[in-house]
Amino acid sequence: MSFKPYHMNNYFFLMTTSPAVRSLFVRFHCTVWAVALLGISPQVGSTQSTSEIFSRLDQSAQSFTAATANIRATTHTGVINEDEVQTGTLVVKRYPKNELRFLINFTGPDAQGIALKGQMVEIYYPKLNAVREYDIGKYKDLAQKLILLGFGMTGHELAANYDITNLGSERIESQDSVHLQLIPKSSDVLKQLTRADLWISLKTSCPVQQKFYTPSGDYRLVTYSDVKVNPPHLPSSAMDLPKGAKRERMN
Amino acid sequence: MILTLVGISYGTLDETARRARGVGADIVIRPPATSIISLSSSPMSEDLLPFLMKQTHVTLATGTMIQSLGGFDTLTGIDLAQFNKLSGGFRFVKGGPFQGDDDVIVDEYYAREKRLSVGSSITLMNHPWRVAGIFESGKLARICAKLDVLQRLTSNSRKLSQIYLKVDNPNGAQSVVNDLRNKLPGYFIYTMEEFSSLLTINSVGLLRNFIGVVIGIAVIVGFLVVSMAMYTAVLERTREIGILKALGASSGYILNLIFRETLLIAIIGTVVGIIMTYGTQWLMLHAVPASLTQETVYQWWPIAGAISVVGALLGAIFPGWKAVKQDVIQALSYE
Repeated sequence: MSFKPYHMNNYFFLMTTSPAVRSLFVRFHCTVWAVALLGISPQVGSTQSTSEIFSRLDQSAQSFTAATANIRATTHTGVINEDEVQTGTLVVKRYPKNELRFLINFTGPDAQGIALKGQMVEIYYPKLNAVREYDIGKYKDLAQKLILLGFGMTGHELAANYDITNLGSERIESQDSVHLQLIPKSSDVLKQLTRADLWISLKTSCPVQQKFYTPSGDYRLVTYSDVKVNPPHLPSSAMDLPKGAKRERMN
Repeated sequence: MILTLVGISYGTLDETARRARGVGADIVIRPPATSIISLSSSPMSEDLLPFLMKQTHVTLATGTMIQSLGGFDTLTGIDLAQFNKLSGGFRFVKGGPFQGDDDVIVDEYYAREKRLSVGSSITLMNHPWRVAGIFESGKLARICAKLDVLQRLTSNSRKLSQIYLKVDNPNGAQSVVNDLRNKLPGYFIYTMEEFSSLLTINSVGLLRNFIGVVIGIAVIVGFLVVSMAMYTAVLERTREIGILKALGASSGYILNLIFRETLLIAIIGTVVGIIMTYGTQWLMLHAVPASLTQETVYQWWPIAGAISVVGALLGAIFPGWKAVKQDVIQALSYE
């Protein structure tokens, strides 16, 4: 048995609803916990409540400085039922003023490096030995919040940007995780993203998986493995694209 | 300044629309606005082409990949055989189609601007290319390369930026578009007529804002220049203004004189400005024909004239007030 839809937006539930509804809510919770304690469902015992997840994220966000991971991104085109898979590595690093930068290096025949530095996105094309720089201006926050969804992010940041539903515990990439469903609150974001699913590892408090649903019915599933949070010996060059590549400013 | 910049904006958009119409397609499909999530500028799969070919009334589907070269230039990857079926083929002025993987074909304007001829080498995207042919302008793009080569170089195997469709009955293109919009929600699907009509100043927010800024600057510059010129003129004519006042000229008479002069300057400035736009047009056509296209936008003549008159009249207010307020005795004794 899993702990099925539990509206995370009800983080403020106890403060805002009527006493009768509140009482019903509390009794429902007591029942669930009683059942869990009686050992009827061992999985419920591992399910995190909203506030627990939020405080876990808040704590890890405070100490978050960097993370490295292997990444596997699957882009699904619904109308032709096609999956395109890219694999590579990810490095995320927090800079002053709470700025998160990342470098994704995809490997294989379509190898390329993608870095976000401030409001600049740099794309490295190995076959051209060139780095193309794009100023994404006002989309900087969107790029940071979407691609790095769950990395170094507090629970309150998540709740401020999304309506959240807890879909319970799941095991992804051999890790126990909490599955959250996020619906963007911003109408601008909704134009690009109708829903995002996020699996937060109970071990690292970082994402083990993200799934982005687009208005076209397609989705992008990104899975992280071998996630290392705050790695002790991350060289300063870990965020650099190849130095010898020719740089071109595109806008 | 206003007419030149508006002319460039209109010219660039109209040239883009002309090249889009030159493709010969009935329908264009663009990817959903999800490039931030997909991290790609060419997010459509090539496998959409067989799917689209199966749709009722669709007789041909072909895709292109567009890579920005910075500024207004782009490099477009095409499947030449399919594109020829769609458009009737390029009309080569010199040379011919691609011979090798590193060949590009360019239009005559680009060749003229970059002084290219068949066999010339050109570096685009930090990659050396050879010019295989120069074609008549007005078809799709100014620079084209082999689609699969561009896909490989940019690590976008089997990816497309845009898809063009030909249908059996062009008059029924709208119903095919409606059908496809249901099957491909989120994708931008237009008939070519609709797509061309979207290429206007009002639909390109950046250009609209750009023109707004240019108008604002023009009004401020016009205001300052006229204000300075008329203020100097009033100072220089202090004695004459004093004589007029001594002879009984009213404040209204003096103001009338100053504003009429300002109006004349503004009208002459507008006419000279219009004539100068033909000069800039000639200059662009001969110096940078591929990068900038300037049109004569007649409907902007009265708008630019009105802006210059308003700016000038605003600039003449203070000098006029200064002239009216002059003391007759002091003005007459002014050396």
